[in-house]
Amino acid sequence: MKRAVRGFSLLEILAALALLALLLVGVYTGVRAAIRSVNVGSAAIGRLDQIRSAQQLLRREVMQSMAVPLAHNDQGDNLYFVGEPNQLRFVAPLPGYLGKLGPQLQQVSLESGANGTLQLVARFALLPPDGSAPQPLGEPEILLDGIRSGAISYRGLDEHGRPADWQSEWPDGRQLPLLVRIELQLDGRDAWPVLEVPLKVDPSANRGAMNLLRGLRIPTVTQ
Amino acid sequence: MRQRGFSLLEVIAAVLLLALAFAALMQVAASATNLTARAAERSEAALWARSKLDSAFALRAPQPGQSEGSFDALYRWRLTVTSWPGNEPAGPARPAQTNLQLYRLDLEVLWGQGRQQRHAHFSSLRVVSAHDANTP
Repeated sequence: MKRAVRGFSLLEILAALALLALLLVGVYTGVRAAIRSVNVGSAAIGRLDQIRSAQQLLRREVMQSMAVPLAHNDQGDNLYFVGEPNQLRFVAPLPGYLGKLGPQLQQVSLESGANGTLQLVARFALLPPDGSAPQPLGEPEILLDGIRSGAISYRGLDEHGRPADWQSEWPDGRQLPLLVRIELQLDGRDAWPVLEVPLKVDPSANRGAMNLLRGLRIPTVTQ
Repeated sequence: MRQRGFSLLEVIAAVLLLALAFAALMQVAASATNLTARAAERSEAALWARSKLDSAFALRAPQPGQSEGSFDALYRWRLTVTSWPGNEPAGPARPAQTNLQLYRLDLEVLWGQGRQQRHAHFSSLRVVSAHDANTP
């Protein structure tokens, strides 16, 4: 046996392999944990973004509700707002970047979606000036999915001008509510902070002498 | 012998060095995840605060004072209302002929317990016409 070329002994090789294997196992678990946490983190961020943008859109649109009639009741009075436990309808302008189509009839509703969960859906429709039926504009937009349960409630002033309680249905569509609240319970660990939006009626849209937010108290001239 | 391999000691040292570097890297990743969670908490606090400040005093005129409560199991709030710019004579002069009154709303959102407690502060101004403020 020549002295110049001496290989490793089997024991040395085994030791080296075991060491390498340990090292690789450590690296692998580390990398896998990192990948998992990145995935979980980006899913959470995505979900939060979804919640936040849904809230932003709803807040902006409901806040800008206008006193534009969207329907009529049996007596022929104009209805400005329809509020039910699982849907609301109102007229508001869309943000400018979506086009200059003017005020839209907007409907936000809780509908059943995939896997027995609910989803929050927004629909937009053009209001023709001649009073004919509104024309749907585009496909319904899903604002948020994976909702376990939810409710929309409304608050306004009673006939004496005092703040009324939260109601699950808006009784008189001839007036606008003062506040709209959307409460949702989401699937998973994410929470939906309760959305409360005050309505700020644009006075220029209010042609009559009545203040829609304060009820139909038309100032009468008594002389 | 012209060529000499590494000794076991050297290899172990190298592996140890690698492990240390890797551990440091993992630490960074963990803190990034942590920061994400905190940012998410803050975002949620901001959403709560936005709804609270928006809807506070939508139905009645603001009254100076403090009130507090909780949004849910995690988030609590404390709202301080002061008239603005305050009544002290050193403050900027207020036009005498106006019937508008400004109120400053300071909202503190708190969450977490003990040393983990965190808070975020939001403030807003609310203008009320004196006529509205006088009606009950």
